[in-house]
Order: sequence, then structure tokens, then C-alpha cells
Amino acid sequence: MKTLIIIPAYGEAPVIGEVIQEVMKARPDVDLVVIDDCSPDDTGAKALAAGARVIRLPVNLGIGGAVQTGFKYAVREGYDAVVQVDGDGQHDPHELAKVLDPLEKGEADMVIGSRFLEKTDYKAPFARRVGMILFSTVARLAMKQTVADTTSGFRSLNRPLFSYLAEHYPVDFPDAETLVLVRRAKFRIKEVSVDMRPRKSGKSSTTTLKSIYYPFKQLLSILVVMLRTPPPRMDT
Amino acid sequence: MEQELPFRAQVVAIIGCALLFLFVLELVRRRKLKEEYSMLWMAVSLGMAVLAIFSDLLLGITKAMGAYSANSVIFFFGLLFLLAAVLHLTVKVSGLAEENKNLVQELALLRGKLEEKSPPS
Repeated sequence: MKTLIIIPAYGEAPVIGEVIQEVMKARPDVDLVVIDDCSPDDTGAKALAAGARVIRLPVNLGIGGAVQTGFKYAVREGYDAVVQVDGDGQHDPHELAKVLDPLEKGEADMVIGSRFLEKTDYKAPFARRVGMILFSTVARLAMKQTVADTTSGFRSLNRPLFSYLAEHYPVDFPDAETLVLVRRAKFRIKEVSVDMRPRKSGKSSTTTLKSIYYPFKQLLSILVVMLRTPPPRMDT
Repeated sequence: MEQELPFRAQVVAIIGCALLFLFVLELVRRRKLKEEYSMLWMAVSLGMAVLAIFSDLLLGITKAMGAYSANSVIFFFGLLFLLAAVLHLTVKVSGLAEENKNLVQELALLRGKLEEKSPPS
């Protein structure tokens, strides 16, 4: 399988080189493209110096728009599979095989590397917990499938699916909305357990205020996806 | 109930409408405003002028709607119109944002292709 690793990066200059070299060492057989989402620092130059192919967005599109750029690239360059990996070193490239395996066996169209599949000690504040429970319940009902980690940025997709998302990607609220859309279009999602390391740099894009408001935003976007007829698939 | 509009108020209203009309026309002439949108604003200024000239019309509408005063009828329709205009604009902006995103992605991909052939120095 001709595989492409997509690393969306925004302001990861201090660590991006290390992340790229680690991935290339772990998987010399796969290609790698960094999507530099118009970083204010020299993330793009650092990535290029580390030996990656770099697509530089002239305008900041946010994580959704950056990832979709990677999908479009993979469509044009004729890849069979893509893996999305965070640019902050959270994901261990030695676990790439775990998320690619079910794809190669044809067991799924998307494999999510999940943090929560096995019990962890993670305890969230009350307000956030309520939001998460409410949200995951709705997401489960909408997807008719349980996905433990809906916000994981570590996932693999096969060609039919990333071609589909290259055309129809909910770039504004990419997380759960994408999963619901993917399920509605009858693609198969599988979740595998992976270890996450503490990020090497940067902050989570989630703040306290956001973490309260986020589930409701997600609920709305899921509702909207449910009300829409999903765009038709071209591969069936 | 309401009296007829005083003559002076009528004149002020008509002048206001004429100024709006001319201003919109000037914007179109200087290509600051697309013809597509100018039609709407010209229609609004003409509509208001008609109401100002034939003020009986407004009183008639007020009566027909069962509204207490002509003022509230004006404000009601004014507000309704502005709401529709803003909604229309947000729809337009959403479309533009989508187009803009696609263009940015296309540009980045093409630039990537170009740099593959001749790396940036």
C-alpha cells in the first residue's frame, strides 16, 4: 500500500524536525507531508530541513482545513492510504503499524488511534464530564457505534474515504462531525488503543471556557449532519 | 388614530429617499457596489418614497394589520428587512469562506508542486 503520513502543523518549529526524523526512522517505507498552516514561526523551513515534503498554506485555515489539504494532496499523488499524525510529538510513530494494520487487512475504512479505549486515570472537571457524557451519548446514537476517543488526531484512512473527505470535510468542526458524516456515508470505523505521550510543545487547543462550550457546539454540528443527506460516494 | 403626515415631514422623507437612491447609484458608478445588490437598495428607497408621497397608503396598511400606530408598522418592516439583509449577507459570507478555503488549498498544492521542481532558496 502506497501510504502517506500527513502532519498538520501550526507553530511547531521547536519540535517538528524531531517529530519528522522520528517518523522517518520508524517508517522509512512511507512518504510524509507536512501541512504548514501558515505558522508565524519557521515551522515550514524546519520541516523542509528535516527532509519532509512541505505544503505551505498562505492563509491560516485551522486544523480541519490543513488536514483536508493533505487529503487533496494524497488524492492527486495517488496514495492508497493516509495516516494523520499530530505535529507536536504526541503520537509515537512506532504505533503507526497499529493504525495501519486494520486498513491493510480491509477491516475498516478509518482506524482511530484511541487514548481512552483502555482504562486510564484521566479525571475531568465536573462540568466537562457532564458535557462529555452528554456529547458521547449523542455521538454514539448518531453513529450507531461507540467511539471512545472522538477527538483523536491519530487516524488512518483508506483511499475511498480520504477521497470522499477531500471533497466534503466539515472543516469548521472537524472532530465528531467528521465521524458522524463518515458513518452516515456507510464507511467503517475501527478504534485501536494507542499510548499518547505528553506533547513536546504547544498547548492543547482546548481551554476551560472552550471545554464547556465545545460539547454544545459539537451537538449542534452533529444534529446538522444528521439532518442532511450525506453527499453521495463516488466509489460505490 | 393617526393623522396624515405633515407636509414638511413628507418633504424631508422624500429628500432622504432621493439621497439614498443617488448614493447607491454613485456607489455602482464607482464600482464599489455590484449591480446585483444595488437593485435591492434602490427598491427600498423607492418603496419608502412611495410611502412618503402617498402617506394614506401607510395608514391603510396600519389599519389592515390592526396595528396601533403607523410608527410601529414602519419599524416592524424596517427591522424585518434588516434581519433578512443580514441573514442574506451571512449566507453570502459562508459561501465566500468555502470558496476562499478551496482557493487557498489549491494555491498551496500548486506552490508545493512548483517547489518540488525548484526548491525555495
